[in-house]
Amino acid sequence: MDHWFWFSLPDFAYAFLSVVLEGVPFILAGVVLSGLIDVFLPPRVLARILPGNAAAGILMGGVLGAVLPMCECGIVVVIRRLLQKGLPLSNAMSYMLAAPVVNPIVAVSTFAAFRGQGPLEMMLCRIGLSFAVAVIMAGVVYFLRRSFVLRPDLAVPAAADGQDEHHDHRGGREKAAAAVRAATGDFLDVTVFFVLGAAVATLFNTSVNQQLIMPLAEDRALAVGSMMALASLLSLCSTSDAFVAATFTAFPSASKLAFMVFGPVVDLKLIFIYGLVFRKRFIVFLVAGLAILVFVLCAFLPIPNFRG
Amino acid sequence: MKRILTLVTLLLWGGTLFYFWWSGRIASYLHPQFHPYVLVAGAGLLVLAVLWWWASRESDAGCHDCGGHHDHGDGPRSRLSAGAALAFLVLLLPLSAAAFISPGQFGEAMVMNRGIVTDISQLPSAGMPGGNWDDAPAWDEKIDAVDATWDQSQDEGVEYFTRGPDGSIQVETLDLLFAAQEPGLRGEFENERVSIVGQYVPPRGGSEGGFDLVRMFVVCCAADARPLGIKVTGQPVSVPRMGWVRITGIARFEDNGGVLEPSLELEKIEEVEPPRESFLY
Repeated sequence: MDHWFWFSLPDFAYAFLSVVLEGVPFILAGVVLSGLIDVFLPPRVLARILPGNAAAGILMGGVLGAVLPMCECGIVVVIRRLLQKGLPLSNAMSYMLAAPVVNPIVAVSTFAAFRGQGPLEMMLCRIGLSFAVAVIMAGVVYFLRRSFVLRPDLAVPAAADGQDEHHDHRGGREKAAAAVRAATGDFLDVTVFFVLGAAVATLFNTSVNQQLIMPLAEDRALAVGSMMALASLLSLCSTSDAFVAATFTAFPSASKLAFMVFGPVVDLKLIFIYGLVFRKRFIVFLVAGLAILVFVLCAFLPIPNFRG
Repeated sequence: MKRILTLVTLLLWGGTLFYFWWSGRIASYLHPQFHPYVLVAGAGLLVLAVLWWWASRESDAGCHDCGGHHDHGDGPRSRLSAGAALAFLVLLLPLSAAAFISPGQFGEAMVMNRGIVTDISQLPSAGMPGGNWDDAPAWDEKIDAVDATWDQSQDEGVEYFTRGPDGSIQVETLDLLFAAQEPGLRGEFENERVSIVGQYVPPRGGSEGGFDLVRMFVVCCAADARPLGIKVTGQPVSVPRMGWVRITGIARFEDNGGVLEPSLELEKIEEVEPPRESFLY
């Protein structure tokens, strides 16, 4: 290995464009859903659906992805809208952190990627760990002030300031126009952060020599830490990251799980996209909390090396 | 101003996605399973642009009813803040520049940063533990089950690979990497003349000690591409780095630290046009 960093503008432009072309369809799906939620889901309906008990709400948020699967690019804008509608913060957090992994699409792709390396065990461990991380983090967030976590424009839900009543008397044509305006606004907002995040992720993805981490496979803690860092830098989509994780055959299974649990909730483009909803200080708190949680779970739980 | 820029942004993004799908350039960027999503998203954004224009005019009409006492921020005469101007710059400039600059294939820097894969077990979805296919009892069982039911007479005279005019077997890098770990398939190629298309990647010092013939393997999009390489030995050649070439040579399989890796003894090299499908999946 004779270098650790080699930047090429054409390579950067090429990889950046591929990330953008892959991600935009999912963002568009997210903003369309967000626009529909904005106009056609009154806060009082949401309040009626949600369980009254906070713990039950968090657990429900953790499995909601199985019914309403969203990838990490599209989920943040949906969460923003649900928070505006009055969804409790802890419920939103468990849904946001779990949905990119706890869904049937990712379960199937993980199973397929790890054939020959304990596919069922890896799939179940991934989903179980992601669910646990989402629920624990949401439990922590339950005890935080809304104003500490959310941007000022989201800290007060729409239901509390009487907008619901204002919207109730709009006709179908007005509601459709409002949904289009909401979806467009969300698309512009999230795409700005997506572009910035994709650019930073692509810079690392194409310019840093990835063979640097190979010697770290020998030690479990180092392997877990390095795979978490790699997952954040590569910023892969949760539906396909298992195929990349599976190639690190020299690394222990626990470190590959760390890659697949941490990457979908903390990657470089997501950190930018989180800025759409959360305050900067909370993003630092969230990233640090998730990093510690995933590291502890994957480095110290008795996870064997799965085979067959 | 903001209304115009919003419209331009939606049209640019929708138009770019639609153009990449329509022109076929998308094949150099994404796995085929994602191509329909790009078409739908491109068309969807173009439709959204039209709908947004209509919705923003509806908003103007609505404002007359509510007395115009509030600002939607997207009116025809609404002013553009510095933050909003910067956001539109981020939305418009990187996409346009990348679409213009992007060569549609990776260069040498990317290959060196990713590292060349010469062992099939290091490939996404190959999934064999320890790089040894004999360690996978589940696969052995499956292969045995297929062998037990297969009518051997069907094999007689069947050629699994096509041959070129010079009699060489036409293969991909993936075929040789796969064959290195599968004894039956290896027998088809070992010491045979084969012909492969790929990109020429010499060591940074020159091609005296041979070079790699590389082809990108993709799971999802170009950003996750892994370069698959076959070592080629023979006389130094003069070809542009990362140029597309067809190599004809004798296939060998050599033990490299307990893992069999394919190589080619160079007989002929010729420059060719890039294939329409530059990736392997």
